[in-house]
Amino acid sequence: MRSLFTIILLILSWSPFFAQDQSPNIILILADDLGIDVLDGFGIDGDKPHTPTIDSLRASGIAFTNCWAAPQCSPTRAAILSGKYGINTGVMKPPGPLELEHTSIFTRIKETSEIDYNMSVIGKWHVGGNTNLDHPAEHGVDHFEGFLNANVEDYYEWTKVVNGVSEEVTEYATTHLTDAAIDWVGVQEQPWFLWLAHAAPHSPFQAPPVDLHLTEAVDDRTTYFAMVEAMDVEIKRLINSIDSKTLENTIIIFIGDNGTPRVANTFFPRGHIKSSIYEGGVRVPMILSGKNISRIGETEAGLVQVTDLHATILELIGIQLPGGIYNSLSIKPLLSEGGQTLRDINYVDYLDDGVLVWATRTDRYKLIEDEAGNQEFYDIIEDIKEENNLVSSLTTEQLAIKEMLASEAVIIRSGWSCNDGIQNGTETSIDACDYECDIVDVLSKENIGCCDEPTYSNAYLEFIEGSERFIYTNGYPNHDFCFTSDRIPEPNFKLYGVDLNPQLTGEETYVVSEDGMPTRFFGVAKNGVIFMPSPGLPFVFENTSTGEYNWDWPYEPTTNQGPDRGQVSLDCSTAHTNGNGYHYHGNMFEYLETIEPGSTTTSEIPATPIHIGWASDGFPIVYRFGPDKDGNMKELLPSFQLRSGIRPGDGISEPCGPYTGKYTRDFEYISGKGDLNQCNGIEAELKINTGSEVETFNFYYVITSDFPELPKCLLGNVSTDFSNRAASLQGKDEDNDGFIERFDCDDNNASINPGAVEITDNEIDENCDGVLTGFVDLETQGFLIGPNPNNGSFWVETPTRENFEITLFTLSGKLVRKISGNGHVDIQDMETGTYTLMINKANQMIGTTKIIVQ
Amino acid sequence: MKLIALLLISMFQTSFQTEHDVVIAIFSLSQDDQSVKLEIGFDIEDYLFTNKILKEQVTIAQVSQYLNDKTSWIINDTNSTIAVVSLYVDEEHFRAECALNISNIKIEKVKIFNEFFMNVDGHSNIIRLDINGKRKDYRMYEGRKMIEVLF
Repeated sequence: MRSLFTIILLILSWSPFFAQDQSPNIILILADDLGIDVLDGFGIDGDKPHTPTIDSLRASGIAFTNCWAAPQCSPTRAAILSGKYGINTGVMKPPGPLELEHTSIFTRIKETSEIDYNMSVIGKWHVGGNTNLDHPAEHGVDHFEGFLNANVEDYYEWTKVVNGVSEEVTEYATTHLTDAAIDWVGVQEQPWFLWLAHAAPHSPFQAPPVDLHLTEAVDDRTTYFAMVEAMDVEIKRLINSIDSKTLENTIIIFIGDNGTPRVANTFFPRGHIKSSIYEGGVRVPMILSGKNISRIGETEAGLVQVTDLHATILELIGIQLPGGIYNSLSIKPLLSEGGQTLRDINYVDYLDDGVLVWATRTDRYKLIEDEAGNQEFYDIIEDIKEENNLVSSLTTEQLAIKEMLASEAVIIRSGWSCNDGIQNGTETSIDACDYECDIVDVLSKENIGCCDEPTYSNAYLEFIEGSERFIYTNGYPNHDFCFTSDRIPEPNFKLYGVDLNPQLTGEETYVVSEDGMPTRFFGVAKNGVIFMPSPGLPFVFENTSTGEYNWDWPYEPTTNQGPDRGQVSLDCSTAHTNGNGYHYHGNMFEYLETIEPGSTTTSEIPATPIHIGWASDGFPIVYRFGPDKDGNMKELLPSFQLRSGIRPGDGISEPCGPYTGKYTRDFEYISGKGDLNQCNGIEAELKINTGSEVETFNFYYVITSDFPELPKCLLGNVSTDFSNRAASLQGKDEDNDGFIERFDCDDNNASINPGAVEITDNEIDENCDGVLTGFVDLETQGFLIGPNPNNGSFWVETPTRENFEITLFTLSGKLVRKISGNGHVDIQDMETGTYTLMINKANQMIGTTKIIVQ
Repeated sequence: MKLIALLLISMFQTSFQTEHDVVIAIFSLSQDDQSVKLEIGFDIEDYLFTNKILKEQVTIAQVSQYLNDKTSWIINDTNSTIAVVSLYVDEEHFRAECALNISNIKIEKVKIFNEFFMNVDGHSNIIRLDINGKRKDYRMYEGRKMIEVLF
């Protein structure tokens, strides 16, 4: 019996299902002089202004109830701009300036982001020393339209600066600034970042236009409320001006820049308000809402501070950081998953009437110190008003916390903390300080290149039978490669079966066993080469005394690639050969350049995903780019970073020193840091053309540019065919076309195999699909067949009442149905798959056709 | 799935599939309910170079002799002799399946002396122990010719 196969072609381009990438837009709204006591939802009761827009942002996003700003506006703005505490910028009181040596977020985005962002500051600046009209531009602001001082002199008659040029304005400031923001956003044609710093509700306290507020402005406090309400109305107008598609792609951040002023405060004690370092001066409301903020209507009590906005915005636009930068910790992980403690300590400093004062806090206790040596200590859970100074009556636990905070403040004020979760100062990795370790890790990220070309044919064949997708391959690369010693790639015949309709099981299956040893491959590329993310022996930390390998610490292959390691020797496709054959350990650069030139280096988002393989649970694997949960194509980022602190080892039985990335365990998963989960997968709709049809998956894996590159775990039902111990196929490939005789309809002719191109109008079935292109097909013989494709039931209508034999084979040649009959013949209960239908009469074949059961 | 079952029957099983190729030989000592087994994978060229013979001259007896000359396997303080049961070629490597002349006792201590291929520059011997469900791996080389492992 002739083997009947079809080959499913590797199709890498298809009609665009997805819109072009949309890097998120950012709107940062700063309210001037608005503490935590002014808004609903932040834990303080009392009468409030009517703020339905801000309330709706809170309801559609996440509200931070323990966010610290500086006690006055300039230090807060400098902290957001620079990501540094006042002690590090020198801006601890108004009006600055923030010197250019402290790189602003605008400059950093320009220098770092692969996406070209348009950036604007509209409204108050007040970090340039009041007089330098070009200070915003010097800090990288593309468009500045606002005022440089602490406040407008009169909300209805004020001086505006537009990119260094002054002009007079006679329109209510909040409305005018909103118009400017609407106009600027309206003309943007690329991703943008709007820093909208309202003058309101800072003094002078002037009633807004009557249609902008509900509270009657009869005194300073009610006028303040009315100004907040006017700002709320104008924020709504701004949001409503943005088209829905753009708005879906926008993140809105709302924050107060310091505490509530005296005239509006009724909650905090006298002197514990704006311009003080008490909670009434520094605790501000912060809300994030919009794209990728998946914690809807939630409150987050974790410690946060305004410096953190710097790193958070950078990560939100796709710049991944080692925890953060300077004093700014990215809180992006908190935007999608709660229950994580990112910050243990908040810090703020302030020049209060010439006296330097600073505060630190844990989740419960707060220590205030000044340069004269005074200390105050409060339980701010029980005593948010800070009326009961505990410093002279501390419990043992409180004393320990006070000393810890004082010690941490000394470190922060003289250098960089080793407990802030950020790689800063001289740290070689996150919080790597004060360690004794004689071992210096040598990382080698350079591969050994290509040095040879394939001498065998590459064979890759996909076919479907029943509920499985099968992949036959000889595992031999179809691209240049290299090797050391005597391990040259050789054909290694394999047949893998995976779920045709994979489902998430809720369980993780790792490519290593519990004792750390590699146990399975992750999957197979569309050229048949396997993905093997974890290394075997001898690439494991070795006890320097006993020689015992410590499987808790296998090397990370992608950082031990090249000549410096000497032994791993990954080639131009980050691959090499062992007993399992040629296999990828990381980004398969050479292979990807073969199938999509430029794909490994481009920052351009392709219109369609690059489908490069199948995971061992049946889900597809794509390279770098894919649709996110909203269907937008983007480069998908992993959620791993180097661990904080120092490895626990002594350097003898396990490694010591900072986490450098030499070992796989040096990295940790941080939910929400990037786009992908712990297995480098994402629950998002992916459509790929698998040759016979466009298939839709609701989950897929991604090969990323950065660690882990190859996923290290699986979330579906894992096929045992990918076990390290799964055997190879035995069989001869006499014609060296990559297909052993079992899969080759002519193993003596290399031009005939399931991967060959069919030549029309001859009587040779070059591609082994059972169909001769020169053969008369069934329709011309009067046979009607339908429906095709079908759901397992179809019929054959014969042209005459003579008896015909109707036979169905799988693509691997297995007979599945044989019927004799004439007239209308029903065929039912066929399993999903592609079949060859053959019709004979009196042992003479009349013709064949392909039947697809979906 | 019949097709898969058919194919599996003819598949080739190997137990040397997780190690990478560097200048190493692999010694895998395992014990299960049935027996104590030693499997060894080593480079053909190194063997021929070390023993100054041609490939055609390699015999099971000769490999057994070389192994007993260059390695000692002392299990629960009793020295064991290695007998190669089968020897075959796997690409550039010999694979040797060996028996040890000990009864299938509960192994509590393994002491190994190993100078196998120590004449080859940079050579290492990887010792893989899988005893009563406990797995431990070691590297032996010019600077570490003896190890003692307690189970």
